[in-house]
Amino acid sequence: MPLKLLLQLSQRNLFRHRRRNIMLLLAICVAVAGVTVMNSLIRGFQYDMQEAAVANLTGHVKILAPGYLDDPNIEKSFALAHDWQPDLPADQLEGWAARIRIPAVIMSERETRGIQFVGIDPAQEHISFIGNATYTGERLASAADRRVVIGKELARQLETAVGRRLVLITQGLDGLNREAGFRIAGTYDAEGTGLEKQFVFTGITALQAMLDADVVTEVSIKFASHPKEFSIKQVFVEFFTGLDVLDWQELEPQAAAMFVFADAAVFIWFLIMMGALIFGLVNTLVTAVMERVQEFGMLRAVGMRPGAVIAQVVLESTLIMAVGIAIGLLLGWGFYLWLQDGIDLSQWAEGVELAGMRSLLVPRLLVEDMVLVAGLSLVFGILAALYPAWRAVKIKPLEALRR
Amino acid sequence: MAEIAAEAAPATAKFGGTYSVATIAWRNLWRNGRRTWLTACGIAFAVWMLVFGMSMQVGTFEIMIDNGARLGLGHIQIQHPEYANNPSLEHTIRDADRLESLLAAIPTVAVASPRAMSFALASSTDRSFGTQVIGVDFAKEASWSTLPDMQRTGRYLAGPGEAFVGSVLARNLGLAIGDEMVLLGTAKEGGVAAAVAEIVGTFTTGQAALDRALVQIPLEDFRAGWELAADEVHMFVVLADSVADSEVVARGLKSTASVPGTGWIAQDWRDLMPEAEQTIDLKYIGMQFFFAMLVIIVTFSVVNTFMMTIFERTPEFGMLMAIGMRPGSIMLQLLLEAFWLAALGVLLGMAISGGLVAILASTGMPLPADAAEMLKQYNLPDRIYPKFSTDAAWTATIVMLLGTQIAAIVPALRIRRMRPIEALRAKE
Repeated sequence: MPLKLLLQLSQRNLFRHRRRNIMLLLAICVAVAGVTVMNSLIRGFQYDMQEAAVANLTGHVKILAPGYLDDPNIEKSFALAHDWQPDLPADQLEGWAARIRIPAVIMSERETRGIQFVGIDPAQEHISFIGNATYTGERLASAADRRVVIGKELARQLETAVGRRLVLITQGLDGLNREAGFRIAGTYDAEGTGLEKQFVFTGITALQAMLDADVVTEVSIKFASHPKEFSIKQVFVEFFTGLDVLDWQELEPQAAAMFVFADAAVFIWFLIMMGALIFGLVNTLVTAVMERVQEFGMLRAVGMRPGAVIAQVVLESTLIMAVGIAIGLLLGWGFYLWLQDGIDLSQWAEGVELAGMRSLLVPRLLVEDMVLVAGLSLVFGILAALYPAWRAVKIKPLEALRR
Repeated sequence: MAEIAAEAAPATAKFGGTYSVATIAWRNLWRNGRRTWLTACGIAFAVWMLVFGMSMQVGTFEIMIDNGARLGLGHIQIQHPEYANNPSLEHTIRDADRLESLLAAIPTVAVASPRAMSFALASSTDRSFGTQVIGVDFAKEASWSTLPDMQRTGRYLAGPGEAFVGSVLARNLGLAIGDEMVLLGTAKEGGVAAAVAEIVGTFTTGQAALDRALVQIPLEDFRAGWELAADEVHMFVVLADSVADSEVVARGLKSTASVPGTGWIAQDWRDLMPEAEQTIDLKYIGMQFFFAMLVIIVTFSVVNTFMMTIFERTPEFGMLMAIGMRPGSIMLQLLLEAFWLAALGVLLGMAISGGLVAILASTGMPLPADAAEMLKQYNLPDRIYPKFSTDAAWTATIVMLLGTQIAAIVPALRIRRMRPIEALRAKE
């Protein structure tokens, strides 16, 4: 039987019960649109979390002295040529930053806390959260700036303010404690108190001077968009012989695990929605078959092959699915556009921070996800048609005609 | 007389009262058993997703709260009113012994553990790090806290002059078990607080903030070093028999503490772990969105079922109307059918969820091997024990019953426009 005829028949059958099929269509649309919106939120969360992990002074790849991760102190450092530049084409590199990051004790007139003291070159830090934070007071002006910027929350805990002085105690290369006073240039707001309590920044050459050591403890490198990380990482492994070259998955294993989990979540969501949908789909298709017992009997009597009967039912299911998917994807895309400014989660800032995200959840709609949803939905449509098609094949032409 | 009475009686009475209408509605469902089962299974699926899904979540929430509590925060903390905002040394609670006996007298309180704490500089011969020093009643602490057993090396505190420290801190200081550590801070009266302690054990929690910076010493040593009085503490960490019990106790303590002049306030787990509460809130919002989608999809399929039913039974309705049944009564019957359908689906869903939760509540739901391994390492249970969520069960039941009623009303409204003769002639 020619496909064109089958298509025509299916299409007419669908229009015979317009109301019923519109209901089914609506259910499919809701399921597809719902999955699309949810996927875009999951992807938004996934990428946001990854970006937050990378921005958390990590970078896509980081170079450290061996043993630094176990015992972060200034002895686990290395010298970096002042004119060093990553050996990468400019379009693959978003930026890089050299830092000193060591534990220190910070004291105000009233309180004492343990923190991570980080020497940075502010010009390089557009790749990390500190370069994009909002400030009260001033930012660090240059690598030679002898002032500090501290987190808003730390300032509150230390009962201090912009312009006041703090004392920092840390260890020099010789193992002896160095103590120095620093004036607060400004306080930063990192959208959550975790980072604000942890990091205190100053100019890297100022910190090198305090420690009497012309070294760095880490170099962070951030690639432009989607890098072929493995091959790029290799460049640094070869250059920095004797040092550890780690990528963000190794540095932030929790975030990397969540990243993989989010990939699975996209599938789980889809399965649940389709699970709810499939009962209604099978129901409608079976009814449509049972209503047409005589018709199928007649078609079989005049010579329609069982294969063509199956094809007919599967085509009906596929057609309605296809229309539902198209409208559903459009609806989902509409919702996505509507949500594109992001969903403000700052009300739950600490919970969000625990999940490694930032307070503004910006959905991301991936073309691959839409293709995946469309393709799998069609597969489901065909699966749902199997039982009704089997019922249709079982119809005996003679008995059906006599009814 | 009897004939007149019969004629005057409402249409339902001719069917033998509402009981019969309900019976007929139930029987009508089974005129197309396959359709009923398919629709009921759709409802059951949604109920199962919600009830079982929520029960698993509630199970993980309890684990999350309890782990936080047993890692050192407790279910409830009793503190000086200013301490939470400004944890400085002078914000202490006096008369600790009396408060402790008051807390211990509450039946659902398992233990109330006193603590004093401050920030200090921990030093070995050539290195120093900022730390948080906690003075603990070690005998009590060992009875509830998981910290003493977290990948411990050496042993937990047993007497004066000892310290139990984070493994990363010990490594950073270059100290091993048996070595001495100097703690330097500011005492309550402004002088220098100093203590020398022998490291007797280390712990690894996996949380950098604790492993890098936490030191526990005996409470008496802390009082001596930081110049606190013998009846002075910064807090009582209270552990209740369960998270639910702790909420009841916290409510009671909060109302007692609001009496002016008590000198302390109570903080429940929501105050102590705002990030846990917010995570739970966020997950609830996610679950609501998810459930709304499921309900909409299932409702559409129920609407569909009823549209098919009404279309097929149009001649039957024409006949019923022709012999005097009112459209309202027919609609009532359809609503009853919808009710039975929903009841069937909900019961089915509940049975599956309840059964699964009952089984898994004792055996636990195993997690993927690598996740379980990671949890075990930190002394956490490697299985999820779901806790039947009665809230979710009620919500699912009500939403499904209402949803199917609405789904039945929309197509049933057509019956009001039916004319008996035309309906009778309608082709099946």
